[in-house]
Amino acid sequence: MGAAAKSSLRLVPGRRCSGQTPPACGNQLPVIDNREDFQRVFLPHLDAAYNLARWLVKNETDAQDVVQEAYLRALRFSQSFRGGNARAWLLAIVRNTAFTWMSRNRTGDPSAGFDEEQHADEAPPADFEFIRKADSEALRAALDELPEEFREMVVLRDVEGFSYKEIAEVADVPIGTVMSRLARARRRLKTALLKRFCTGGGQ
Amino acid sequence: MTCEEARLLIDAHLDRELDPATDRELMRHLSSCARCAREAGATRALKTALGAQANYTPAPPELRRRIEQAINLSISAGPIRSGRRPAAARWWPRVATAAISGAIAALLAVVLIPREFRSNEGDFMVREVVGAHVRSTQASHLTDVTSTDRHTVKPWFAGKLDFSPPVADFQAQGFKLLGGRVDYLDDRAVAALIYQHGRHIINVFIWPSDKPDQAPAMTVRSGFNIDRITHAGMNYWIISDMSADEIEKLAALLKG
Repeated sequence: MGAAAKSSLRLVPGRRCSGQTPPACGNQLPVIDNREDFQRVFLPHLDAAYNLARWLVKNETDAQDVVQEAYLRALRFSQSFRGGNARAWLLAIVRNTAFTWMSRNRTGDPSAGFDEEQHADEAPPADFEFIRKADSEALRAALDELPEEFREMVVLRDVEGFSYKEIAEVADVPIGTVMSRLARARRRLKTALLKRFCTGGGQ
Repeated sequence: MTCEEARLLIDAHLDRELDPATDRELMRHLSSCARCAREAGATRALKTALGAQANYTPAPPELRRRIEQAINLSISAGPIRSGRRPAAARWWPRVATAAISGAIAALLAVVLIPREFRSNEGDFMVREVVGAHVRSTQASHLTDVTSTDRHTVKPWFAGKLDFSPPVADFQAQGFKLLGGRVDYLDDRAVAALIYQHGRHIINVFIWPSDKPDQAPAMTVRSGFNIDRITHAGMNYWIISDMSADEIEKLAALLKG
């Protein structure tokens, strides 16, 4: 990526409050001082938490354990929640719990080299049939092959509908990194779907 | 704008995350470059497909119940609400009290525990064992395999551990085997056997040892009694809130 490209990465400032800047969020700070408050603020995000964990650890039982562990950690650290975006705050914990879990339970070789550049010069076929015909099984397989730190970007953005700013908060990376990882992840997904389409009877 | 620059911005453009000026610049490029426009079209199709086809998996109701239960268990150890006091007054004093009593318990533990427990390694393990025990009782994740039958529990560990822990039920002696679990202590996988005695839950953590047999060494930490023995090439750490006498009984049974 050239310097010129970098300088043009100016993104719209986030519309939502960030956990790190409580003063900007002013009066609506939820103060977590009892379990009812904790449940009221964080349980509504259970589906989002589970969905992210499910996509990261790729297994429903493990995802449940990860989410439960994450909620207990969140409870333990709830005094450090100073208001702001509860969903991003919680999912950051879910995400970290999942990554800890994966590093502890990883079997076999780590994700293969991320070589999305190999087809970068080929423009995709104009009719996009290889994407439009992709079913959920094809998409799941392609997503599962992404390294976790790229998979989480796509899941948070295209499945959960998070803003870049929220994703940056969850994954604890700059917004520019969110943007470049999303672009690389989607390029890799397109390549994988095209390959599958060409070899899987789509010719 | 070059194609290389445009490729980096297409995703943010489709995600509506670009600032208006850059967005306009990119649109201008796309209207004059068929290849980049095609790339943008493919990405848009991908986003549509993901939105429509990638499974959003909501949490199973069972998980919600488990978490609600765990939350209630972990804070409701003390009385949580007492009517009129302002919100902030309800919780923080309890946290402070808990912290102080925790500190006192830790201090007492240091004073009271036998010498061999005071080595860094021993103290670290005490903390790990207490943590593992508390987690197992809080998270309603006591057992991975639930069975009172040792012929079910023992084979369950095969393939999950690099050793085969001895598994026995002592229901006749008052210690009912509830099941087993794989846990992690000091960065290694260990077998956890869970027993019930009256209303007390007992965790027995087992992993191999290359040390000679060692007599029971009892310690107290955070209100839990912890007994440690080495027997026949295995470490046993027994932890529960039941009395030290009862723990010693179980330790004797485990030694067989």
